[in-house]
Amino acid sequence: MSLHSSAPYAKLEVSVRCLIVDDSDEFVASAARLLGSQGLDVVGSASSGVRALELAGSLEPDVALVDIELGEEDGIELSHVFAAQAPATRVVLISSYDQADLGDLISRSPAVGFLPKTDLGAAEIRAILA
Amino acid sequence: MSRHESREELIRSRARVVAAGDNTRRRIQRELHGGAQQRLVQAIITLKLAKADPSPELIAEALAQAESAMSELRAIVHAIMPAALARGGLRSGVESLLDRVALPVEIDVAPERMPPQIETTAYFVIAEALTNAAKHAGATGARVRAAQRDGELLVEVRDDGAGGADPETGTGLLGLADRVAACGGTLTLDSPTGAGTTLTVTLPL
Repeated sequence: MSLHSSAPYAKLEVSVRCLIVDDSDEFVASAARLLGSQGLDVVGSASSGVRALELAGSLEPDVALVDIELGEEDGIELSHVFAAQAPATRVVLISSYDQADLGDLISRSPAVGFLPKTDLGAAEIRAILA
Repeated sequence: MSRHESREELIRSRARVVAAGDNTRRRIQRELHGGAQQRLVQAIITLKLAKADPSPELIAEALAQAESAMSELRAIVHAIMPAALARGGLRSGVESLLDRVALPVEIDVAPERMPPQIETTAYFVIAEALTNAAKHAGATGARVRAAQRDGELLVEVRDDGAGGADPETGTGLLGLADRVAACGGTLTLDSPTGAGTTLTVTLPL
């Protein structure tokens, strides 16, 4: 990205501190690289619910991107735990499924939004948080 | 077997066929979602990075991820229904298995085309038997024969593995028996402990 086109970001947008919760190291690495390059501040990552809550406590991120499938764990369940135990961190659920594939699972969760992993981007996350 | 018992068995085998279909869907869903779909997510993210910064490294990385998705899709498409079987019949189908089974296999399969249900059933019998030979019986080699005889297709898969296979315990073998029964055929398993396994199937043509 040229300095010219990135300049408005610096002026207009406050930093968003972001935690990635996903059990695929490969995805975490790519997502952190992409979101970092688009101006988000990826402060940490976790592959389990327990670790995610620890990091939410110590890092106080603005948003946690939580995969709905965390190995044997369930990201939607985790969004309820976040709402109860780390209410300052808003949860955006992510998945390689599309929202239409998930029925009402997303709307019934306390997450503030959903992003298919293929639509992942800083602008999309900012739009959900706005 | 009394009439009552055979009716009970028919109900059980139908339930097993339905359950086997559901299990297959579940397995395919898991494999596609956990494999090719994840590789494509990676490729898309890498291409988004490359769009902002078109470096040869990022493009090579995205290409590798797309190729890896492709190879996983090929394997799954083959497992669902091999193109070689539909296009070339049983012999071509069995040939297409050989690269995918970690076992040297000697094949002697008649080249004639047969009704699709017979070819497909014979193919899945052979595929399952070779998978069992390689995965569970620790065989070092196997032989596949399939020939028409007296209005039947006779299929025999013999391996030199550990033997002791029990059709009552393995869902794979039970599934094959149901599939063969649905074609009006017979399945015989000879698997003495320590002396290899021979699976023989006849299918009326």
